[in-house]
Amino acid sequence: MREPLVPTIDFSPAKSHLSDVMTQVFHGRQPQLVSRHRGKEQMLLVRPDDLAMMLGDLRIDVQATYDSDDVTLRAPDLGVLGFGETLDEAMDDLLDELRVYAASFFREPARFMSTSRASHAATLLRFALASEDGQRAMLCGVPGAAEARRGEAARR
Amino acid sequence: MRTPSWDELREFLRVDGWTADRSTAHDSFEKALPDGEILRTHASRSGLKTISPGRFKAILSDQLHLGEAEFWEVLRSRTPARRPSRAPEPAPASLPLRIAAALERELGLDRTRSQGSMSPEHAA
Repeated sequence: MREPLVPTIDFSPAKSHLSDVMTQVFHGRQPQLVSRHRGKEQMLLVRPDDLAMMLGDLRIDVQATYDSDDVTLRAPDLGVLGFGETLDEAMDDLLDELRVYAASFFREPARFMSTSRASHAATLLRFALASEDGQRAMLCGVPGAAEARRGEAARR
Repeated sequence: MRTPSWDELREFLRVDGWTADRSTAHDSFEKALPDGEILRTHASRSGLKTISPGRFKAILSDQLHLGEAEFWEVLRSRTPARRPSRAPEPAPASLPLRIAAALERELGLDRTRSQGSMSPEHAA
């Protein structure tokens, strides 16, 4: 059997030494695979901020559509829209809608992962793990986005 | 382009078999298609207010996955739409957000057309 490249611990010892496992994952920044049924079932433990960094600089393409009295922002890759009377209002609404979508997605992931929406998972997870400023910075073209992304990285 | 009110959009969602996502405080709706795909949209509570043309096109193309005529046919016939659409609505004219934001920020262009200024969309 191939040697695991990520440290792996069986379920029972992981359960009885959960505090130590969490210390290794959090303070040691050590990803750990927890395995049971001889490796048939596995889960990965990793620090959320490390996972966000591993997911990389994922951006959300946003398009602006102007009407006479309002602005609609489209995230066409995710099928999410934001409405407002101004660009700023539409951006706030788009961020709210992305949060609603991410919450729905991760509340029932199996339902979404069995559809073409599975391709949204990495972007939505990166979005869900970001601070509010970081979420705004993921929208392509937001003023100050590059500075916000540098701030997020520095905080990590 | 004839555009519906938000109440008409809600009526469309009811006839077309969408269900409210009760897990959120937002007015979000979902429809599961026979092939397992999931459509999502949300509706304003503005009721009788008419949806603007660009916004309606965006809802059709990005969320309902239908053409304009198919939308009105659902309301007329009181029967759900056939999918996949025979004539899906093309995406509305739009600008990348970075360009829209730059035009509003750098050139002072915004949507106050009533005051005689030019919108970012027209400037671009």
